[in-house]
Amino acid sequence: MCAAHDEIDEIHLAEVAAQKRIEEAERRAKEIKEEAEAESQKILENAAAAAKENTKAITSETEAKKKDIDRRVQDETDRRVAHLETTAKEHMKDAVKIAVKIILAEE
Amino acid sequence: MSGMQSIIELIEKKTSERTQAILRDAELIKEQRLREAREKAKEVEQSQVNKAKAQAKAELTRHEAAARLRAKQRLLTSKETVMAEALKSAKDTAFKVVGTKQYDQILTRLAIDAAQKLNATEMEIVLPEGQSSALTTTEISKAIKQATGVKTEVSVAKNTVRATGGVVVMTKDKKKWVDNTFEARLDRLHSELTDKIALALFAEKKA
Repeated sequence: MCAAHDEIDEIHLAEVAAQKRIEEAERRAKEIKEEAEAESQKILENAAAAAKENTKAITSETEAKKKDIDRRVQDETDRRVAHLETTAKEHMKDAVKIAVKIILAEE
Repeated sequence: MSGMQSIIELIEKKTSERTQAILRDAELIKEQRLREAREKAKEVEQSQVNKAKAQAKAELTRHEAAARLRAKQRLLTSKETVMAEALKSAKDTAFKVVGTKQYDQILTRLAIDAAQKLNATEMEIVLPEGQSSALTTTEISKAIKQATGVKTEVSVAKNTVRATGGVVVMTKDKKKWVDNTFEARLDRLHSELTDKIALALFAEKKA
């Protein structure tokens, strides 16, 4: 009778130990999942920061390009206005003559 | 091995299998979660960069279009300034002929031009205030007949018109008239004047 009781106790102890190991494994699994969650969050935060930096660089590049456009168009317009004024100056007398003829019905 | 030993070993074996499975599943979930996070991060980063690039491209296109429009307006303003100068100079030159030797010839030409448009048999010529003219109505009548084939009587009206130079020609019944005063011509022919001035001023001569 006593030997049978001892065996039952040993089995019970083995079951308690097993339950403990399972609980420990579950606790560790929970930790692993929490680590994964934190790492994922960190990855997303890093990506957002990198995207912000890239956007900032693109904006800065855009501003520089805008200034280039302004300079290029300004130079081009200066040249065209100068050419226009020179051409007009050369032909002013002819233009006035033509207009006078129209006003006075000479043509 | 006793029955009890076998049971304990079985419990331990099963427990080991269970704990390994729990940890393996957790690791797999972690791997999966991190893989998803990396993919999402890449996607988010790429998407934001693409968005910024597209915005930059659109902004540059708008900026260049606005700069080109400003340049166009500047060129247009320059052209208009020069054209206005030419038109003013032409106006001043034309107005200066009033009272000169050639003025009567000009009046005759303006009167003929107006009379031809009226196509009537009896017409009156109205001159600007204070401008008595040696205008020969016979010459005008003759020129009109030559141009239209219709014999026309032309007389100089007693009333006057407020203008710097030129004439107004009207039918005897005063129902129709052509205003050929300088001011009216400047106004009426403004479009033709600006077109021809522009052509003369800015047309590139072919080599």
